[in-house]
Amino acid sequence: MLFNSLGFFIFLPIVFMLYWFVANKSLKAQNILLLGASYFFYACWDWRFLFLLMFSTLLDYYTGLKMEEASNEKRKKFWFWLSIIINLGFLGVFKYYNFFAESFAELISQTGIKIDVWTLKVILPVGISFYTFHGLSYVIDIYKNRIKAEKNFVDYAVFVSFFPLLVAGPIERATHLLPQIKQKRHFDYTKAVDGLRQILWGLFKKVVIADNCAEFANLIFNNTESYSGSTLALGALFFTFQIYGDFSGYSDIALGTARLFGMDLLRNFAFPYFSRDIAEFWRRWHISLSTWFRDYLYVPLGGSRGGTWMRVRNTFIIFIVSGFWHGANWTFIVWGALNALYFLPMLLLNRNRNNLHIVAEGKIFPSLKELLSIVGTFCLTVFAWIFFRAESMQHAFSYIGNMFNKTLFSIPQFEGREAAIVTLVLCAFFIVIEWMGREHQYALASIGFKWPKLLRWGFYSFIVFLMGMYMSTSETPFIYFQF
Amino acid sequence: MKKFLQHIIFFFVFTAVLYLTGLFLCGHFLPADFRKNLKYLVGGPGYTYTRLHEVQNYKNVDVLFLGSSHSGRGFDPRIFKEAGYSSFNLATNAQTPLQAEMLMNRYIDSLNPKTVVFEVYPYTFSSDGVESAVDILANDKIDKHAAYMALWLKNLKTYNTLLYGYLQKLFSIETKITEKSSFKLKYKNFTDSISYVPGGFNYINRQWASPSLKEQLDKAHMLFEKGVMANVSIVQDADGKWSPRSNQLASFERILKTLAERKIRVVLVQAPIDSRFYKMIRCNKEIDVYFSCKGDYYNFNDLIHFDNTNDFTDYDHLSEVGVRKMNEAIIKKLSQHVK
Repeated sequence: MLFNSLGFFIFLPIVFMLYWFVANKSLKAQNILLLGASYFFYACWDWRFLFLLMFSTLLDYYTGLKMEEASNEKRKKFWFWLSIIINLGFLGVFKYYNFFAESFAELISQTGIKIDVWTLKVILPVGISFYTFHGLSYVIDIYKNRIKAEKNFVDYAVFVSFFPLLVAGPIERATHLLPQIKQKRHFDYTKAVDGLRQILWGLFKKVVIADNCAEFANLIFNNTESYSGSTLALGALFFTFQIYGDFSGYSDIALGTARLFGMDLLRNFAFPYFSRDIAEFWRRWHISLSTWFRDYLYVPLGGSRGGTWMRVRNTFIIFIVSGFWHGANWTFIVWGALNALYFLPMLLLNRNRNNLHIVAEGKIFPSLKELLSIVGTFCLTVFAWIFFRAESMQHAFSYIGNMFNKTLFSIPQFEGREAAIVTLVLCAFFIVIEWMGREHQYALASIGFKWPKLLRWGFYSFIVFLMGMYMSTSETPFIYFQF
Repeated sequence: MKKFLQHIIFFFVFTAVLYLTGLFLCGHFLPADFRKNLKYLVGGPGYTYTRLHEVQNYKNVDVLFLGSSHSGRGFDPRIFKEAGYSSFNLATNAQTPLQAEMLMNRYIDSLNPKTVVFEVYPYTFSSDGVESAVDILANDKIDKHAAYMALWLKNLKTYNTLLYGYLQKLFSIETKITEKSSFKLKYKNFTDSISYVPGGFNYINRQWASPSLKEQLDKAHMLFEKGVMANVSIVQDADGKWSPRSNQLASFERILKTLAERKIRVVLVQAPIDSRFYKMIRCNKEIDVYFSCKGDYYNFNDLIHFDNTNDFTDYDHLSEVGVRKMNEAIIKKLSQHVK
């Protein structure tokens, strides 16, 4: 079930009403309802993989308890590694097996020997990278004695499979979400309204910005050889807005939906395209994944302790692993490595924590220096996204090769230019609203708060109207579902 | 909670009013290219407006044609008249079974045909039918048949067009137009001159930028038109199996049932397309088996030879020569049954 489908807009009010009107007397009933709804939500995609989700949940729940009960360090370690190996094993088999097998065969073929590798013909269970990481963080935190194992299975299962975050995050931490699940929730008008507002903005980002940009990004990326450099540059720009609208839109809908049920999820995006350097960009893009890698990979590897070489090595490791997390393709690995390269000068010059505050805070416009920094960082990001979007490394290099020639300065030519102009106007509207709301949790959080109610409602209705007039009429899946 | 639910209801009503206002204003003032989900084009080279107004003057025809542009540009009532058959061509561009059903329900009583020739282009069974639906909504009356079709399609474009059509009706500002007697559409390599022939036929004359260009393209085996590959990939899935939509098949079955109940003979026809394009579709046999089971079925891709150069104006529409060839062949088939 997609957040942008009719099914979800029937499912959500039903669960909401049952939650606040039928199950509101008991916390246990509310959590059982959330678990049932979450499993139904997941089963709508493919019920067979529900068993995998249940198994993964049971495994981490059980190993968590066993680690806590363990009488000695050796037994604790056993249960810890059992969970890690099985979790990563599933992820490896479903997501990475074919990649490794094919890469191995290709490597061997370089020596002139041809081998036939056995590849799996399975579909990737949606959300596997997300719920596996939920489970991993839980098990690691217990192993490191940061948290106690959860005794109540339903509560733990809701933590892993709470439907707003189940298929594409944010990647939650037990320390943050479990206490909310265990606490009695009361209906909060302000929180619920805020949730609806965030859902509205998330939907706008997805169905208007991302899906419209996707039409042109797909057209241009699928016909790399036929277009001029300027058209290819425009294609990369469209994809830049598509990926942001798609993923941050999803996150907004997830956070807003959770708020309707009285829960706060971790923030996943903080206006990354207004970043003044790549380090700031990575503090603002897919925050829950970046912090996950920071806490569970970068810090255990030694973090920024040790010498310069150690810091450089660790930075490259987390960027490359982060790229690989997105998918089993060399393009994602190169995308991660390229971002590490962008990051490197700042790391070496100790300038990676220069821009910690919000850009142009309290001002309407940024300074010229800030503007140039934002534009420069944005251009680097656009370039890196080419690798992320390309089908293969060959495709990425051919795209870049065709882009950087004298036609880069020509007028873009492609089918449907009028529609592309409309999309660019919508993107401009989107940027303005995001800029106006950049000091808040999400763009729409504060806009119009001081306006008369009718005007504020008129503004929200205008966004609904834009959706009705410009949204893509086919249900397009979210990009991050495939990860 | 009570306040929350109240506000949601108020907001819905408030938004609905503003939405309709916005729709009305955009439909009136925004150029068509700038309103993605409101395609309200009255009149145009498809001649839907003229056809759907002309049909109201026809009664008791021998043959009624239904189908897509393959039918609209493929069955010429003048040729049928020469053979002694009265007919009307109720085809519209990209018409799918859902629209054919709606038009049939609307006009079957007055037209009262003895035979329905239903052109069954497989693409239309795999299509969502939105393009044709908005064309008909904009060019014909908005009634319960139109509303049912629009709602059945579950698509925002048809909802917006339907709502806009209702608003036009409500404020009595329905557009009355006279379609041009001919349209000239200029493309990169050729110019199409399109005119309407009473009885529902669209006549197209294509003139190439240079006389040898079409031959050059044909020699290069280039199916130069946009959308060839897209059409193929919609008709069949990755394994080459036919992939019709269940709602289109259901609508097709309902049409056949209605016609059977009225004891109207049905002839199913697959109009020919460029043979190179036809060969790209791997599920032709599967399609033939399906339609053969449904009644008299003639697939002109196999039945008689059509020349890719002379018998077509493009990869899937017949030229004047091709139209006569196909029409005469159908008349032969019909002659045993009609009259």
